[in-house]
Amino acid sequence: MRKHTITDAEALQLLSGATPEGRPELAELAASIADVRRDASQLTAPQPSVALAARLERPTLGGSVSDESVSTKGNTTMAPPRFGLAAKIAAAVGVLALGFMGVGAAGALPGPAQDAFDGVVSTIVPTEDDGTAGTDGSTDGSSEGTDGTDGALDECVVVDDGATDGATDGTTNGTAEDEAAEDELYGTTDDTTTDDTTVTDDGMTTDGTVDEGTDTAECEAPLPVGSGEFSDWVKQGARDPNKIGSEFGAAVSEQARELKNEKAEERAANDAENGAGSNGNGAGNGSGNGNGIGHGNTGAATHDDESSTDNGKPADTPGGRP
Amino acid sequence: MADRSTLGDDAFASVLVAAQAGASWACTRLWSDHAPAVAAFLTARGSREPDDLTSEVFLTVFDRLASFSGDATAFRSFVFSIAYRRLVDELRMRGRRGETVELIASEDPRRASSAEDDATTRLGDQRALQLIAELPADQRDVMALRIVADLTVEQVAEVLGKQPGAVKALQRRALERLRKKFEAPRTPPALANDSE
Repeated sequence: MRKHTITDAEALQLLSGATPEGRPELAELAASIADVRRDASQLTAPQPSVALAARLERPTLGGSVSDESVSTKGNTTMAPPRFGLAAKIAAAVGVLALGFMGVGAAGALPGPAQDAFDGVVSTIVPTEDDGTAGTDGSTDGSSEGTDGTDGALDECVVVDDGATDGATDGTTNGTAEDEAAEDELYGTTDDTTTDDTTVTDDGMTTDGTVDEGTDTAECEAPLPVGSGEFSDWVKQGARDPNKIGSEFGAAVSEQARELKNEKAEERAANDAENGAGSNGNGAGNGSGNGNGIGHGNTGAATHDDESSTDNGKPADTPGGRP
Repeated sequence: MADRSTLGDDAFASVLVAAQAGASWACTRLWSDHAPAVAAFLTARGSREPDDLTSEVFLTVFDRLASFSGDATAFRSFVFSIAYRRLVDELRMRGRRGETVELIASEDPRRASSAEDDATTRLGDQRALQLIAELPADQRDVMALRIVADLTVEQVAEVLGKQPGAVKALQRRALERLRKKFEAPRTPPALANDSE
């Protein structure tokens, strides 16, 4: 007698691909199901979509690569840990900033960019030029040693007479007052200058401390005057790994502050001495070889220096920019 | 019915923990173990893009992996539950938009079939899947999950949201239907429309 119903037990056998006992009429159905099961078990994983592939190839957050790991469509690569986007941006900005500062300090930027850089540097690190840079601002890049210092100052202090005098709005003539002013400014005298220095050229002693002591020390620690020299001094000090730190920063700040204060005092003294209306030409001709070419910005200024311009505009001084 | 997963319970637990921690190797292992069956199930149930849908299923699986807890059997049910829901979404969407079928010359019904073509289509899972395709939708779901996905009655009940007794009844009726089909002379089957 042929059965016409399939029990749950027979269904279980059929679905596993086996023919139920005593039901030969179900053999073909069982064989077909067995074929399906076999084919399904032999399938491989399909090609993952782009989104899923990216998900599967994410870097490992934890654990390690297992020997049992199976890749179906090509091996998945284990990408190394990567820095975050914010870290990359910060690093790139830092590198760019350092590069810009280096190029700016070297004076290699294009004209407007270099002017902007100088302005920023002057704002952050005030120098003696800051007080007068807006007046006429012409500086002579040539660094002539001031006379009357027996040459010692030539090594220790680099002073541009013209720059100094011109910066004082041309109220001083190149006389011995310049010497006095410089001596007062830098604390150097003929008697105290010395050639055998024990401090480095950036105002730091060999042990890395700032020597703010005697006049001799001041001489031994040459003071940067122009913005270019000052920036060079800062740049060189910054490059020296022995000088980077709070002490060097303090030295820079102290140096800039002293220069500014003393220059202000000098300018006040000159104003009081010459009185209003004096038409200095700003050409600070020292008694020696000082040939500063700072220019007064008054139209009545007399010009002693050949390089001066009579229209009050600064002469083209290639060395004027640091 | 034995689970086809190649991982034992201990190994699966290790892989699951690693996958939940974000280890790509563990996610790859889960994909390689379960994706073939998912793709086969989706194919058997009439998905037009079973490979793409399989990837979407596993993207969802990995998104929800942190909330899963259980053994390999439970994970298989978890995967196929997501696959079934995505399949239903596709079938519904296809029903609303209308079905677009790419014209393939070899599959053009207006083209006269050769003896070779007939032999090819009768071979392997094509014939059996065609038989499954003749079943009503609920019976097709049960048969595909039981045969292709190799799930137990309880797992199928969980995936479909039915009682195990209802699943047993559906599979019994499906087998009866198939038996009658095998007994009768073969005629070209008319594909059922899931979207209706």
